[in-house]
Amino acid sequence: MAKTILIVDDSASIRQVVKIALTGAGYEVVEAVDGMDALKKLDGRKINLVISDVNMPNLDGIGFVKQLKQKSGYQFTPVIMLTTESEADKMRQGKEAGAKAWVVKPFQPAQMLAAVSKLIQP
Amino acid sequence: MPHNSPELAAALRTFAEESGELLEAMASHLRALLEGDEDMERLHALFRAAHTIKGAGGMFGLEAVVGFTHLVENLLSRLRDGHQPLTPALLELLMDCRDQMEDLLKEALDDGGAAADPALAARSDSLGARLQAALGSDGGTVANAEATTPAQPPTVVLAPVADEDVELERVEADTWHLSLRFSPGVLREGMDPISFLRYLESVGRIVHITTLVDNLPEAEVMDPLNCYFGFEIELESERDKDAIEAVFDFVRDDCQLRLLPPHSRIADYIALIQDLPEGQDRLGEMLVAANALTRQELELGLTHQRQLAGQAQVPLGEILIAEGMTHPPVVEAALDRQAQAKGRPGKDKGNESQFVRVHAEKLDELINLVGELVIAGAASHLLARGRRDRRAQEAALTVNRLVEQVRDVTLKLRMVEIGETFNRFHRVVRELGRDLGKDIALDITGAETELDKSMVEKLGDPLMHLVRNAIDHGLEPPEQRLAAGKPERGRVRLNAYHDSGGIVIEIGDDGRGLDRERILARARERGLIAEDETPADPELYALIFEPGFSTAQTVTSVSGRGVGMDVVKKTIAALRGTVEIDTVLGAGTTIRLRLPLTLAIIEGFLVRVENVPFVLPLESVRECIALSATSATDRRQYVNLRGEVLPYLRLRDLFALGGTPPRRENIVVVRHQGNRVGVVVDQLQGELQTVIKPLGRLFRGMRGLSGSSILGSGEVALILDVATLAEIATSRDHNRGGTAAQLQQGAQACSTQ
Amino acid sequence: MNRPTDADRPDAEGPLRVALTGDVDIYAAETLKAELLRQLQRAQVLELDLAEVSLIDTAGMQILVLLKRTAEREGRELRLSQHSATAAEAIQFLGLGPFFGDPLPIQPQWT
Repeated sequence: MAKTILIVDDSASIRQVVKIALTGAGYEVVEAVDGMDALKKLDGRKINLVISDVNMPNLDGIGFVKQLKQKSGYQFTPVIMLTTESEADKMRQGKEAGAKAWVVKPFQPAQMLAAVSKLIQP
Repeated sequence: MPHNSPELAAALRTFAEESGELLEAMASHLRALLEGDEDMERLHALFRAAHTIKGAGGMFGLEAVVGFTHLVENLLSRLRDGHQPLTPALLELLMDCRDQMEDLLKEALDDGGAAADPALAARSDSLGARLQAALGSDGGTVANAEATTPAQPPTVVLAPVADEDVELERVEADTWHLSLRFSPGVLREGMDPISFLRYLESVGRIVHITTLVDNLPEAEVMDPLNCYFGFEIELESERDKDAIEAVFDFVRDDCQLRLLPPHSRIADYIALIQDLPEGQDRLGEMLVAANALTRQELELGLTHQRQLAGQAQVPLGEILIAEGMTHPPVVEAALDRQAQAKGRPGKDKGNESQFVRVHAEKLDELINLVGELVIAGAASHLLARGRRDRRAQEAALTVNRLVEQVRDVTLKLRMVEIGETFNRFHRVVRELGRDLGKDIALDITGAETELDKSMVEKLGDPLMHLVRNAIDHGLEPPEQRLAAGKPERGRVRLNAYHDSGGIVIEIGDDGRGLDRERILARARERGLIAEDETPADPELYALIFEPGFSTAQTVTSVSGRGVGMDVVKKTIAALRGTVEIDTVLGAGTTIRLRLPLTLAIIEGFLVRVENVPFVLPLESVRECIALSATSATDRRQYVNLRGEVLPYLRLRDLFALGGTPPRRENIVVVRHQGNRVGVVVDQLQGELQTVIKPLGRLFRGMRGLSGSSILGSGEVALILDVATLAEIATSRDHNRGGTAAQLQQGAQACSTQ
Repeated sequence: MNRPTDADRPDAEGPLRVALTGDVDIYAAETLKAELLRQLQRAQVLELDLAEVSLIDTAGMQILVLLKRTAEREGRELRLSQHSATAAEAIQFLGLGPFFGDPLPIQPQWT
């Protein structure tokens, strides 16, 4: 059974490219436009990995991960955060919230695929 | 970029649309900022837009766009975080940069980057240089320094570099040896060691994995969520150490990776074995089984080790160095880490008896609940009173008293000392002083004064503005100071103390002081006061906080356009605080911020209009007077209060509550920064202490409201924003409140939340 | 979810068979530990049928190792059988084949 990855980013084009790369590698992909939307999309379904942007309107990545880590069935779900290199502070907050894996924007689809493969295999 | 798939081409079209929208949004935010709308959210939105364009552009390989946008993003990030004040000059620059981004994107998306326009690239360079200049030496290096921190390798111990001079036996094995131990919590973080091992296959061929199950405890104490496994791995790889370490970068905080290159010295293997918790016999056998060491090599190494150890009780690390087996720094690093590991638990234990670390969120939750409790307590008290049951009343009173104590204690939990915030300014003062060629001492007093943590966070920006302002405007250049008979070294002072239930923060300097005449002239020039008017000092000095007000003769990059001071005023007002200025020409200026200790509770004054309850912050209420139908000059909307003109506004009109005013209305006279205005209401209901809740979504953007609160009766009361009311009353602009329908909906939304 | 399903017990001397299904992972680890240890107490020989196992992660593998060791300590026996491809592959990948000592189906080379 294919593993499911939730990608949370307010940029439609980033979601689209990541989705292309991941589905090409054999993963199922669920998209969400921000943290709020992501919480809705969980909907009790099995999510094997979350990729989330930090800077988003409504509920940002840090807030989303905090809530995710409280949810039964998702508390051990690995999270990859997307950040820019200048945001050491966000990275610290994110780590406290439970996101240990980070990918720095801008990234190439192959880099994202490599990061994902460290955490789960299709 | 290669658009070799229809899917990617579609994604690129999405990006074109998206970036177009983002550029539009950037333009409108920049315009609003230029027009003086100082909403911080605009800077956040600008940053996010640049961030997304850079991030998505990078995925499509649009190098020119990414490189340029990166600089823009850096500047926006600094502005957003308050590290740099937003000046009109910077806004103009950002406008130009946005246009450049648009052109770059157009070029990249239209012709696939086939023929790059050299003029466009040149413009990128020149704007880039201006951005770099705006960022200053400080901005650039800070960003870079931060960037390097996360790139640390995982905890790597004992990875000796091959040293050809040393004649020591090397192992035959041509594989890397990896020894991995994970922290118990790694699984809870969502990190599965097996996944990383599988990914290891992307940098080489795994010849052998030994899974160490030794540390798995007995069933009774084994925690299924802890990681107990360790791994010893032989890896065939052409890649270098960094590439192998990079496999484990996500677990760098949660694993110890020991890495031995192919043909490492036997001694290194021995050191590794002895460094691991499983014991040398077990590991030695295991390494032999895994073909990492031959049995001979193992024996040789262990014998050598025993001989050396027999001579004296010298730590292993020192032996290795003495024998030239390994490089001192490597061992030092390893020993350091051991010392840390040993030292840490003891240290923590010492603190544990006195402190418990609690997540801020949990405290917020507690405070929220206590707030509910206060409200519920008030309700039960009300009920008891209504029943005229003395015993019930007494019991309710006791409960209320206890609840209030619990509330006070709970709020104290969130109190932190302001010292940490103050101390951040040492660096600011030093760096800014250096940039401006001023020698400055920073005196800090009252560092132990406590205030609410959420308050501290919000004070960072205004304090930064005020300190920068004191350094830049307040303190004279050294030659002027000397000429005025002052010590060359200027002084900036930060002080804090508690005063009548609030906190006072002072930012002082011994500089030139405010020049009353120049401010007066400037205020007249800008039409802020009439030619014949001579306001009292406090009112006049308060003008330096007006948007765009500055008397600086030269504009520096640090401050000087009055933009920052305007932000200060707004931020402090939003915190229900006030700003006072004490200044003596030639001797210095002190700016005094008075703030409530906490944002969670308000001493309020309850009023009603059309039976809708409103709360005014008590500290702003001066007096209440009756408004008789005759004394009101309704067209003009002011009354004569003891010979003074008192402008007023009717909440009924502001919020379009409709209905007919009662025969006898009341005016609550409130004071805001020297302005007195009247707020006309139906009923006065007296003082109350209440817990502030944020406004529901429906209320956001409604003028005149700052929060909501739930009364003991269960009704939602709206907390009025005095600053805005004063502004509306004096400007006669009554048309921007909400509507009655909005108010009702919002109140419902609040109470159901 | 992957709670073990009780299988029948052909005769008194025969092994107690329990089938594991789905993901034997960290989300299931606590339930599996409690439930399988309980089953182990009921039998001289506990046989885990891994045919329907879709994934084993580190937490899951630790439970299997714990069972094996507890069984040995108490003079009982744990057998793994009918390995699904993923289950067999995971055991082989970690070099735990000899530790469990069960016959494994022949796997294609995992490199």
